[in-house]
Amino acid sequence: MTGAPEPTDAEVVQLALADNAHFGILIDRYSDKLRRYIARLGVRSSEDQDDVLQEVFIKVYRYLNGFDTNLSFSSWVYRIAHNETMTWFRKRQVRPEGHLIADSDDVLALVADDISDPEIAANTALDAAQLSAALVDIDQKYRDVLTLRYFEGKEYEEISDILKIPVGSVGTLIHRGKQKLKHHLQAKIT
Amino acid sequence: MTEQPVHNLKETVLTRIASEGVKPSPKYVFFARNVVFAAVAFLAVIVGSLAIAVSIFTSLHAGWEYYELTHQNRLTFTVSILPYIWISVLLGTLVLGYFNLRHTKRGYRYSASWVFIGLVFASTLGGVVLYNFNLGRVLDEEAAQYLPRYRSSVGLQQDFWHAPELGRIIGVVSVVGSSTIAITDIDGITWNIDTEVLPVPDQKRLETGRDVRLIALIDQDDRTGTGCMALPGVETEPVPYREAMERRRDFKTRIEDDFEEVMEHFSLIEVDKMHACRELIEQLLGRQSLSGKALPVEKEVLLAP
Repeated sequence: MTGAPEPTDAEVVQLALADNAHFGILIDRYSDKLRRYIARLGVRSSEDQDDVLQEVFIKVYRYLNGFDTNLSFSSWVYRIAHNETMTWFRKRQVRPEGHLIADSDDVLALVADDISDPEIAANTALDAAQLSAALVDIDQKYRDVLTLRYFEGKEYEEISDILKIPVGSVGTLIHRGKQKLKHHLQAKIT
Repeated sequence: MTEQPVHNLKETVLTRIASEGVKPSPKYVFFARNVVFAAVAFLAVIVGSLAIAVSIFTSLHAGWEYYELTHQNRLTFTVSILPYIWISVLLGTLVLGYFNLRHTKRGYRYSASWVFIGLVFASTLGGVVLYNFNLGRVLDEEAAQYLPRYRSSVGLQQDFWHAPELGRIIGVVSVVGSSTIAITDIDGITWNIDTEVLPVPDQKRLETGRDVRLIALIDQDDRTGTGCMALPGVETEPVPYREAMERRRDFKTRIEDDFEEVMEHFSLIEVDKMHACRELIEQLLGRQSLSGKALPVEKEVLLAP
């Protein structure tokens, strides 16, 4: 027996505007994803992640009427999470504490295939620690797109909506970011 | 990494929403924000269009028909007439327009170069339209009235031409005699100018009350001179492009005329004056002076008919 289809995010937004109890559905849907994303951006302590997540969801609720239904809710909520995390870093005057790289060997393998080159692959297997260290060394703008592309699995258009940059720039930043990452990986390995 | 259970986070957030009285901001706030950014971007395009309209006006009506008489070359002339203020205004509006467009709902999707190209295109199109509605001229005159150091297109040409010490006079013909005229320059000084060696078309131009630009051999002490070339004055009404082109053609033909041929119709005294005039004009044109050339004094010259 199949139940009624789950409401879409946009539908839940409308329900939450009418009754804030429905907002919990959105928290259920996105809290894990956003926690991982925030961690990848460099907020490592669990307490700090809680603080940031709370602020993210409070802002999401406050800005519900500003949600553009032409965008995916996911992109919109990731944008708020990204901005809130950057604000958190600024307020604390701290830099990201390294990066949570791989949740699984699959993700790591994907990154290794696309970013690493045969020379690096021949010398050593790419591991999470090396990749993490290399990511810390590259500029924030490259780190942001690479994180969204490879670790969050976002499409170019979604990344464009999350970071509010043109789709063409996403491609350029990913391409240059990979070059930079390769360069740093080579330096670390050799 | 220890994760806070989701239900705890959910409870905490929902509790905070209730206890802090957090409410979704009204729709109109987001709508108004978007409208303000779009409106400022639109306003920037309008101001940019005005800047282009004035720039077109001041560039087309800068007196380029006779630039050789006031400037060393085309480059120095261009540098001196470039509407720097309006170019700065245009650049400012491009930055303002870009910033505001980027902050509209979808503005971030367009690359900076496309946004700039779009803004430049829109401002140029708007500028051409506004120029055709004469707004370039109006704004140029208004700016001259209210901005302390701003020189209008007319004012700038007066600056170029008001140089009696170099043989350039700009002013209004106040009296016309049989072979002299009185011209009152923009400082209110009246010059008595001998018009004997002026070509007939130039003499026809010298009617009482008319604006003229004059090249003359000037004696600054007694405020007299010999007119060498009379050109149309700087009218407040802009000269249509076609007419300006015609003036330019006439002027070019004139300065390239076979001078010796012209002089054959004048008396000896007049020939001397004409040579002096020619030298003055050659100097103003930045050419090598004719003084090295032998004057055709031995030649039998005819009196002007």
